[in-house]
Amino acid sequence: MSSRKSRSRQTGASMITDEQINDLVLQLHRLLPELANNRRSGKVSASRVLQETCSYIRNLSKEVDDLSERLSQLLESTDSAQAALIRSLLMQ
Amino acid sequence: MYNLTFSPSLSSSLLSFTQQTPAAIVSSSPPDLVLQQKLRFVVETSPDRWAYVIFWQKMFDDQSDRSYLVWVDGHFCGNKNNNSQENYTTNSIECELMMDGGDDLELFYAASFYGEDRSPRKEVSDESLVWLTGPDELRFSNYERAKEAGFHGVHTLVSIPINNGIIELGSSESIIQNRNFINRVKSIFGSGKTTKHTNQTGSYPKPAVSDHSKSGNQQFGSERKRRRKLETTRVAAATKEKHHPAVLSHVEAEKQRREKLNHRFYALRAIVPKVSRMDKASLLSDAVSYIESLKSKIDDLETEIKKMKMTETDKLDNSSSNTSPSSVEYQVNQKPSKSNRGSDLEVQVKIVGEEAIIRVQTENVNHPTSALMSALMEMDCRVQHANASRLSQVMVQDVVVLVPEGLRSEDRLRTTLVRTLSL
Repeated sequence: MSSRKSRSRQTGASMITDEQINDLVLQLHRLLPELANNRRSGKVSASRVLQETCSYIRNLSKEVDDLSERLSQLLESTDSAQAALIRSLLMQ
Repeated sequence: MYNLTFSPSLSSSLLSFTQQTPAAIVSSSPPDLVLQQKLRFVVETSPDRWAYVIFWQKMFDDQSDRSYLVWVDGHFCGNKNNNSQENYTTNSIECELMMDGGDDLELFYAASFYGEDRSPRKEVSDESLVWLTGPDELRFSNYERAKEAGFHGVHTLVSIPINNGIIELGSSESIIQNRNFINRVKSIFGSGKTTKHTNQTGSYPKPAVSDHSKSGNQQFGSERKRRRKLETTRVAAATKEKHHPAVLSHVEAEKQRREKLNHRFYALRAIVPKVSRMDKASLLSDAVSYIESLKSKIDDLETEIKKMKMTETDKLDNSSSNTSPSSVEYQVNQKPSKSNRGSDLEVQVKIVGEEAIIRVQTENVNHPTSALMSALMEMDCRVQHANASRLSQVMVQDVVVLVPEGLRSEDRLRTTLVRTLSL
């Protein structure tokens, strides 16, 4: 009886945690563009979602760096009027 | 020829058979099993090596007024060839036959079993004992079955009459007649009416035969049972082995799945910079918010890049639509530069004696260092020391110059410099 009760408690705790994790995994699932295509085929495992999340974050970080670099190059090559305009935008 | 007149009925013979069961054998067994046990007992407890034992039951045919024997049960113990067989062969053909004695003897025994159901067999003397030793006695005997047995490698054929039939034994070895053995068989199965023991002799003299007494007869049935048991044990072991790795592989697969998931969580933890808590749920939440912030950054940067590109396009359009280049160019050059430099140019002047320290802070466009040097040259200010440094997009220049007499006033010097730089 005690073992059964402890088991049920563990099951309850793990269920709560699993529910939270499942909700968060679903949020990540919606954010990832690659896995959105896989929705049609069926469910995707949590491991796959986490892996795709890591790849997506890396891609986004790289994109941010690339865009920053391009913006810097454009600022250097433009004249003072455009520079002033960009500076005001950046300050905002 | 003596003709049998005794005709026992089947039920009475079975009844008498049951009554004469020895106490050593379990009496609760069915009659067939008892008979089989008796046959095995006779052969297994004998010091001689018998190949087979058969119980022929005596039947009486009313029409032909003759008795015949029917195969009821038998036990084949197997056969092993001995070198002594070669002593009784005269030519190579017989030698080959003897080499195949085992198989041939087994065929002979099987033929006895699968012979015609109701084929009568004439008996020379129904009530007499027959013990033939050596291939010569069998081959030249008047006993038909003895002749047939001789051709199949039987060297000793014994026919012992009992109450309701005959017990026949055969061996590939030459076994001397043993009265004790005969008495034991009769006591087990029940003796017949007469107790005659005539030893048939052939036309040739009896050869000297050595008695091979070997114990430990092996049974085909027991061997097969043992093999079956061994195979069963092996199958069971194989089944256990198959099942056990399956369970292990299942547990191992679960462990690997968890480790893989944990590795994914660790990788995600390494990438997401902000950490609210250490549990997995918070990690996922932080990942969601970080992805959203990265997307927002990308949108903003892309918007600004588009704006800059549009501005450049407008500039190109303006330059391509020039009709009076001198006046338009003058206007373009005038207005932006004035408003720009007016708003961004900072000039600080400090005069000490004949020298002045000038700090000019402008944007890093159109070569500000050259512009400043040109302006100072027009104002006839000789440079003593100059330092130019850029801070991101701003150029800061510190210059120490000799000031001519006409400009030795901070306000005048600054005004002139600003005007000159604006031109």
